[in-house]
Amino acid sequence: MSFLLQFCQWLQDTSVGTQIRESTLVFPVLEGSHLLGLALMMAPVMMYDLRLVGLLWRNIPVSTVKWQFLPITFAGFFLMVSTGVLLFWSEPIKCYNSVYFRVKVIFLIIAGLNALVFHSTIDKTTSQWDSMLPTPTRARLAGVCSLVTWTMVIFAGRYTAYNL
Amino acid sequence: MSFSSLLPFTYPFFKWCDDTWLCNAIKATTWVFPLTETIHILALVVLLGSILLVDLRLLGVGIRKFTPLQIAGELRTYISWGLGIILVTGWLLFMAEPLKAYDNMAFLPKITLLFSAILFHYTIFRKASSINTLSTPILAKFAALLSLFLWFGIGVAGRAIGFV
Repeated sequence: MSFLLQFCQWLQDTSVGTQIRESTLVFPVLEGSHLLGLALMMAPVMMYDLRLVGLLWRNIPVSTVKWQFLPITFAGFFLMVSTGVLLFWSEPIKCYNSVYFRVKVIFLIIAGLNALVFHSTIDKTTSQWDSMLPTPTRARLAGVCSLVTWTMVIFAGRYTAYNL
Repeated sequence: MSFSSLLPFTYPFFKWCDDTWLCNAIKATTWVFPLTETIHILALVVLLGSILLVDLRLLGVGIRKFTPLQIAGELRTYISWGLGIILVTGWLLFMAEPLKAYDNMAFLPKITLLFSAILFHYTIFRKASSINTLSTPILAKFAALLSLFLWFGIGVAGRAIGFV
């Protein structure tokens, strides 16, 4: 038995996991919040990505779009991570065995790496291309990569819940 | 609060839907329903997320450098496409199990909220979101709260269809 599976088994048997799993109200409320929280987190992400690609907010400097929307993203991200952790806690074994959940984790990692690379390289020079159109290729690539990977995260996330 | 308990005279319509070739075609596959539902959720992210950003702006929560009209104008196309896709996929999901929808306690509230929300969005809310100043009057804030209640209510009722 692998370490990861052992960990999932242990997590599944904790009282918190069991209580969420067996509650008639907590699980649906968590899942509903996780679903509707998508709007709060993803809409501002989309605004920034689409500005990087050059499809929205073309007349507004990139840095302005970034700082108008990023705080909302953080609030949404906090909601998604806290509900997501509790949902995982309630059924770790199901997640462990689900191919879709593994796909979701992989795309989450890619999305994180994309953001990390973008913010530590091209984003640092934003002041030099703030109002430039088209935006630099690397910025457009980061925007497209973010849109695609987050779409895949949502796709795989929804499919995790089906017993296919 | 279901169609079966409050509006039983609508039964022939649901029965007719259940007998159509479309309903039978969707029922005959296992992959159409999950795929349609996932696209339904992606459209939710675009539609609900875009409306949420306008609501937050009207309420004065973040995005303070843009006027409501700037945001609503920029996102108009995304809201229209989001609504179009969510209605088409929603119709397909309904056609997969019309009789289940007829008996479901969350389906009638969802449809009621949906028609109210669309009507509200293209009348009163359109007026509120055409404000082109940075400060918003109290009535516009009230419209934003009502918008949040209606659209998130649809989301909550929609998710509840699968639980009740």
